[in-house]
Amino acid sequence: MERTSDMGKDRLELLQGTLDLMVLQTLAGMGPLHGYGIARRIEQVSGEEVLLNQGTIYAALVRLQQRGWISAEWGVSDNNRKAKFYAITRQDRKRLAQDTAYWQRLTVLMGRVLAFPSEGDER
Amino acid sequence: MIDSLRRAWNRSLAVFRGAPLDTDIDAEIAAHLDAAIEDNLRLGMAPEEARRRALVRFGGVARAMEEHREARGLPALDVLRQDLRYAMRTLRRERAFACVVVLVLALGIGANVAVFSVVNTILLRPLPFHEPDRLAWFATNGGKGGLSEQTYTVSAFEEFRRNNRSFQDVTSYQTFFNSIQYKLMGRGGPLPMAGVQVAGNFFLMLGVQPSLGRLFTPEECQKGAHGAALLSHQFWERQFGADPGIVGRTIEIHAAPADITGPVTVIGVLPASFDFGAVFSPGMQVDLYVPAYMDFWRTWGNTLAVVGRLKPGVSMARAQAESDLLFPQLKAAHKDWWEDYKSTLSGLQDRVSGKVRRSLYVLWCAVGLILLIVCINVSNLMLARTMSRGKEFAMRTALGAGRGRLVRQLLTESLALSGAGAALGLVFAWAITFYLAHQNQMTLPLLATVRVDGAALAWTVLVAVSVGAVFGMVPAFKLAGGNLQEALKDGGAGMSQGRRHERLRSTLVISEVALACVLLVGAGLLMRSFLRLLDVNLGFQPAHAAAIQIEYNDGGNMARRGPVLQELLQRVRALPGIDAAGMSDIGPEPELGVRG
Repeated sequence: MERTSDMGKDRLELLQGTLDLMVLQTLAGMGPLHGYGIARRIEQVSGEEVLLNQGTIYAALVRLQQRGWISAEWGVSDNNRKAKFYAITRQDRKRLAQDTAYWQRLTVLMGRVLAFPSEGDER
Repeated sequence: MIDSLRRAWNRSLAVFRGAPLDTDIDAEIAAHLDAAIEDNLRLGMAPEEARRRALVRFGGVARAMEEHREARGLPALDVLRQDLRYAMRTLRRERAFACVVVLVLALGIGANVAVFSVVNTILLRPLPFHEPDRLAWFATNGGKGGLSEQTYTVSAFEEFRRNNRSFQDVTSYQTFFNSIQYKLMGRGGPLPMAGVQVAGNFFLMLGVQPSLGRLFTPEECQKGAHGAALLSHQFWERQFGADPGIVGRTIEIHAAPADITGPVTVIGVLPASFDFGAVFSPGMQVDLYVPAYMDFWRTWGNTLAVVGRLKPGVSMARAQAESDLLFPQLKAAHKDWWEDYKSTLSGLQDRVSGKVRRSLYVLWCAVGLILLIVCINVSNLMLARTMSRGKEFAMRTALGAGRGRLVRQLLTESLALSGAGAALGLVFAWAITFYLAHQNQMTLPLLATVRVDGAALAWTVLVAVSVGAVFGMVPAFKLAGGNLQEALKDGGAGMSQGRRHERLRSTLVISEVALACVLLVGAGLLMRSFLRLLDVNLGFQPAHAAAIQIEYNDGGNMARRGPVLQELLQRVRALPGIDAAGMSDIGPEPELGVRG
């Protein structure tokens, strides 16, 4: 993948659907944010572990917006610049909770499966 | 679920709001980059470096835009829109070509849709009655001869109706409607009406319900009963302004010579969908239906046309077998019958459309052939155009356009052309059907109900798409089969204008000539069968004959009638240009196309 080649070496590639959830979680935690803010926040939280082309976030944002999960509005940022702010819509905090629970179950499961020693394992 | 629907909806909307959405995302990305650069500057980078790093982190503006657009809209639709816009642009540049193609297509498709509408009305669409496939038409004397030879006496009708086992019910109508003149009295003078006398169960058996009021009661069908009448929808609208209060009102009718003269109560109005003339007497517009008093007609000989409704599960063949047995038995029982009324039964639909069926199918095939010729012509034009555009395509291929993409674009172009042709053709078809439906002179059954309906629209779409696919395919194949270098060379000043092109084009020309020959032969056959259809042996030369219906008043005095009529004839004969004159109590049959 070209992404891995021109960006860092050991970063995680995002799984399909995870970015949407990350965006939702960020908005839920931080309140209304603009695209750059969301991207920065995700990078910071992941400890720069996540391989994120910041531009990718805009596809995720329009997807979420079209589903009606987030709303968008032009406003003025802290440093007095025009920016588009996204906010999670009220009813979709519930959805976020569901999705979070789903991912947590999945991670636990994956962890368990991967922890299972395979045959011929030297450990 | 709702969310996905909402997304799909928003995506389709986004397709049509591309420009403002693009500006929006442009501004957003610019703001994003500005913020990132600012942050980098704050970290102490040089302006150049700050900008570079911001762009690297962003990961390609063009790619982000592309991803955003793909997520936002419907990529396939976008491509289609792009192709359409491109097609429009090129076609606008070649206006003459586009006009010719659209016009040729419109003619082909228009003719097709018009004929389809006629075929659909007469052959495909079921008769506008309840379960029309159970309706049978009775033809005595093999359906040959004059009206008197093809019809039944009241006694024959009643006896068969009473004694048969195959039919749920049998009904009839009085066929000599031209021999009785109906006039609506009052309301600004006598107004001639076209009336038909029907048996009491006529509408009930056909399954026609009045749109207002009720049908005849058995009492109303007895001789001497108080007159009752049903109005046709058209007459009700025209004469009574579609006034629903007409039901139950009394109108004054004068009828000669049958005995329904006097006040008559309007008991109902028939639905607009019921057109007696269209089914039973092409070209006739009926205003009024009154009961046929069987006791009145009993002594008038053969006057009734008979229609029956088969019992469920009884086949036409079984009914025919029963009729073959029953009529001779009845004849034996009735010494006063003159004939045995040996009858041929046929489906009412067959009786209505039978005579014109083959002609219509031939006509249908003929317009199909015309459409094929149109296709080939347009293919040829498209091909010539593709060749002159060879360089353009070669260039686009060289620039990385996939072959599929080019073929797709060619198909979009041809579909746009055929779509425009179909739209214009539909206008033609509508005009043709409108003209046909208002043609009283043509005695094709059901013609008055011909129109461009949903089925015809579906047919148009089908025709347009297949036509577009067919003539779009030819240049597309050509394109797919060609090779890039050859095209680049061929489009240039090279001498070898491509032998393969020539071959394809001569194939098209040859098939065109072949089809034209088939069409010519087909059209010839069609004309012949149509002429045969119209060529009824009248027994006289209608070319220089005219029929006039006259009203006269002899005050009911039989002694004066002869002299009055003689005097009338004398005067007519004395007119310059009149060779001979005669008179009859009934005009020539309406089916023969001569009208009083």
